[in-house]
Amino acid sequence: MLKCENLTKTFGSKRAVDGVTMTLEPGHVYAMLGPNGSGKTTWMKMAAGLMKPTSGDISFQGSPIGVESRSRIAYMSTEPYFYAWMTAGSAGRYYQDFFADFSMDRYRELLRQMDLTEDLKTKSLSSGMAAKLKIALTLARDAQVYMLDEPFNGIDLLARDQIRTCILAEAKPEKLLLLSSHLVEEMEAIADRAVFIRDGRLVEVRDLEEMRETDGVSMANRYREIYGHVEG
Amino acid sequence: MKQLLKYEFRKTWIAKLIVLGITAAAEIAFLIGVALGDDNKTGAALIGTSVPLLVMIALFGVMFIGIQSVVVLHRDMNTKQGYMLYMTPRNSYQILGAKFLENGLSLVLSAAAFFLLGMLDVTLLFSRFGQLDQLWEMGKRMLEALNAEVELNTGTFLLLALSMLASWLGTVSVAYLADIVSSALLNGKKCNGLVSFLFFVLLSALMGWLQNLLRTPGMDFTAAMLVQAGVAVAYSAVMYFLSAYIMDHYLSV
Repeated sequence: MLKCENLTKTFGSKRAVDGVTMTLEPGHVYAMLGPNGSGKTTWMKMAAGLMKPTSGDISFQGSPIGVESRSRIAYMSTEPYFYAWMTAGSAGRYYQDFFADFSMDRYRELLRQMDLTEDLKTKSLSSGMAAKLKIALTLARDAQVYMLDEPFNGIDLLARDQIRTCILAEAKPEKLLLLSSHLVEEMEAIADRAVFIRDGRLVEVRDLEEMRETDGVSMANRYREIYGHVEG
Repeated sequence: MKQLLKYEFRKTWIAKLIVLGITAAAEIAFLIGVALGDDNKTGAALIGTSVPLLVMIALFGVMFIGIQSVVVLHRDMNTKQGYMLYMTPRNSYQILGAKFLENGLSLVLSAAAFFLLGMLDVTLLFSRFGQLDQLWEMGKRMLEALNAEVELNTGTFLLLALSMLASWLGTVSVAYLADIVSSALLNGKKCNGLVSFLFFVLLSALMGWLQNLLRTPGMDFTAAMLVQAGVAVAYSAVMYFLSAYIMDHYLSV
């Protein structure tokens, strides 16, 4: 479904993503893991069509990332990106205007679940409320791929539970979910596959069940094995 | 395209409200002045202040609207709010097309509104005070400075306004291209600002040179103004396609 070959993105002399080749398939929830600056966000932005690769290819269902893929891929950036004049309600109408798969009813339901109201001004939201709003907007789309960059950033425990429930409701055989987070234990409860990235390079893509059975390690322990010396 | 256009208007409406607010204030002062009459000290002062102010607002208001659209484009390419635009299933030609269209329509509509307001105010002055010799002479001298054989009438004013508007549209589209080159091709490079500014100056000068080149010495005023406007519109079209191509292939937000 989402495939990249030798995907590279450089910023000056820094290689943020360095020759990544992988295929992500529908029916799975992927956890994209790696320390800060490992290239997760850059990879997602290229998959969302916001960033152009320096070299290599990235495609969705066999076609290069572009207008068509943007109508099928729902991306949530970790940074707030609303226009200053927007309210939660007008942000929903904006999505409705541009995305055929966006459901206003589903959006209102998600807002209600996350204790948000349509009259809230986006520029006055706390980081946690803004994160919940972004998630509600993204999950109100009936997309084929959901890419959520750090969905639990700045969110308290109870709100994280709400968000986890909402995300898991979208885990269906025909859909692909890709989430990045520093909260590895939290991700272990959601994901069934993990993508480990270090210094812009792909370390491995693992099926978590298979990894537990064959290697006898959890995702968190595997994370420690790979990045322990980097972060420690 | 309709949706893109809707949000482009939404992004720039505050700038337009500012222009509208200042215009309304100046117009009210003018109307009060006319009502009081020029033999009244306050009335004469109000007319004397508001007339040049309205002329200035008409000129700079249209310029301000064009500059504001460049600022919005810059923000859309260089801040996180650009995600709202570039993650939508629309291509760069549509995104930029909406910006060009919004800017063009705003310029034409605001220029038309100022022109109508100007005509109404002149008519009002004429009907109230009966003589506009000084104003008429001033306009005549301004036009004669541009073309010795010009005849002063509404058509002349319209042609001149059209030519100026098209040239301004051309300048704004050059600014779009320079900004897109800066954000897409020169981003993070040394002297980005200076290089893109020089690029803007160079392309603007090129447009002026082309307008002069095609405006032959013997050409009458009407033909000269039409050529000037035509070159500017064609130049804007070239800038649009070039800008959209660069955006499509190289822009990362």
